[in-house]
Amino acid sequence: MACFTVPLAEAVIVATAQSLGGHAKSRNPFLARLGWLRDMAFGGSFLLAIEHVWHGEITWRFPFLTAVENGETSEMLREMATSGVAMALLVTTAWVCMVLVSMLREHPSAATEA
Amino acid sequence: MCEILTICAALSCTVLYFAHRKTPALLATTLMFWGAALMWSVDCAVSALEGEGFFDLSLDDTYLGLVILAAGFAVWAVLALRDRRRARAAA
Repeated sequence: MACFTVPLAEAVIVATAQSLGGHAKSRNPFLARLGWLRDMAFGGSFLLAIEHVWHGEITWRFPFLTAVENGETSEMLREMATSGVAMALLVTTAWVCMVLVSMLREHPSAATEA
Repeated sequence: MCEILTICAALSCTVLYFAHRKTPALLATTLMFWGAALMWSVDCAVSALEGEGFFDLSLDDTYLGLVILAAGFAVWAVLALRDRRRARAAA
């Protein structure tokens, strides 16, 4: 119903942290690649929002969510807590794997030493 | 079909990025499609656990997938135009 709001919130937090910290040139590989997580979370949330509009779960009138209009707020919140959190965790896990792979590609000697 | 089309778009953009043009706009678009594919896979898994099929192969979902592809490539076009303007301004 509104499960995409959880990764969207994660994207906002990451983008805010990026703008405040300016981590693009950080030596920490995870901080330097926060933009990847931001793009995945924002982009995925944007496309999922389109799907929710398609299925009529988002409207242009307040409160913008048909689940709230129909009195299904508790079910919506449960879906956010389960599916939404799972989406955010999966995207974050994928980002961590991407950063680790990029670190191995940049420094293959680190992999052989390990 | 929406999930399948999104995964295909993500794979295509990934191949294009690494094989041909490593532009910021294409990277952002690739990450967008992969983010959406991962999120939809959670949705599909929840549907499968509730007894429905993992993939929705209905015509309506196919149309939705095409709309998603159009939106994603529209984002790519906007980002590419923005990058071109920035490059011209910098030059």
